[in-house]
Amino acid sequence: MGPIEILYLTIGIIVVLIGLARGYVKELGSTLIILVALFILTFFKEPVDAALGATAQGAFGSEEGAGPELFLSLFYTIVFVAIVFTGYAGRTLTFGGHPAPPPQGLLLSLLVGIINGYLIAGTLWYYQEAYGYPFFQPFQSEFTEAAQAMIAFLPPSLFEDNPVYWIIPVAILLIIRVRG
Amino acid sequence: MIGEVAILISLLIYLTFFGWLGWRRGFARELTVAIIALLSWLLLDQSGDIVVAMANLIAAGLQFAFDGGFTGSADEAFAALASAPELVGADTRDAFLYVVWVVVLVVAYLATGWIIPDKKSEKNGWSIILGVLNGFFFAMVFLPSLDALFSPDGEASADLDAGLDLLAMMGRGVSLLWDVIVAFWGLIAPLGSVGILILLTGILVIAAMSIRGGAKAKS
Repeated sequence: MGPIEILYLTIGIIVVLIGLARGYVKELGSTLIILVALFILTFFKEPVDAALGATAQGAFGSEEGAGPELFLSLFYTIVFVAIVFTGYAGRTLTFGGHPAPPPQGLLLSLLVGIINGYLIAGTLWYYQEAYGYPFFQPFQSEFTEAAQAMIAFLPPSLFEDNPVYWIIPVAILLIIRVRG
Repeated sequence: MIGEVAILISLLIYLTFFGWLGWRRGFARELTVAIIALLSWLLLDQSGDIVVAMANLIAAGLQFAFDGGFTGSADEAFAALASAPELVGADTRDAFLYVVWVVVLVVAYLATGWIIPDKKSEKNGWSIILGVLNGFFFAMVFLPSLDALFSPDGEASADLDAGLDLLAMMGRGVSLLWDVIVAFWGLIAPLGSVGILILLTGILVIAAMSIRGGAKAKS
């Protein structure tokens, strides 16, 4: 298999293409949901880890080394993917109005798509990295320098100590939306 | 770090100038210049020998005329012509074609300004992008010459003889783009997480503010 960053870059590129197809007006609503999801998951990570970790320990037993990690990684991934899916497919917070004409509109769709791609692919990667890659153990020894550099900038690890920072862009976007 | 910032600022000023030029000249003029620049580049790259042969032929014709081929002894003129060196030899071929391309480019800039009226050359976002792309293309072409001009020892880091080599030019383009990304990252990285948050928030705010007809929800 190739380097692990290729896998997550591919996910990111797919999200960027979806962003280009949907346009940035729709994508901004999804970005808001993703940012809120990031805040909630990072803010409550410690108590959730403790509670679910103990439950998983009881269920899988201590001899099953990767059991709790697999459970926690799977839990966060499923919750995050469910929130993202709701943000894209559900009836959610949307921005009204028309996008700017091309090329500005196209460029903004690309940029917002890149942000969403980074947030989604980066968060999925983080929940594998944080729990020791319970799905793909053999990859760990093959990390390239690029992958190691990228890991330091995965979205949830940016503000692990103070996730409230994630609310800043959310608050500003909400003000713009309400102001109209 | 300071060097990277300087590179980024220099390139931004350079591309902003071309973007502004694109806006002033409009879409049709910039598109015409871009097409002429690219086609003439490809043409000179593929069929440069024909241009060189034509230049040598014209030079020979002039030489023949000045040596009295039309008025005096034609035999003497032919003899003088046979012994005269070629205007463009194998060693000056690339430099000659490079000069030809620059002349074509300057003429294209001036001619599009005269021929295409202001009303038919719309000023929009595309004209800015085309202006920036033109600037980027010229940077790729002129970079080795300027590099040699301003370097202390007068030697270019890139191969000057590869002036008309399309692959070498594309390589310089990719390298220039990569330098920009590295320089940009050099600005963001020291700020760490906050730098990324500022960048991300800035893009989202610009996107939200650019929505036309109000951003009020209809959920």
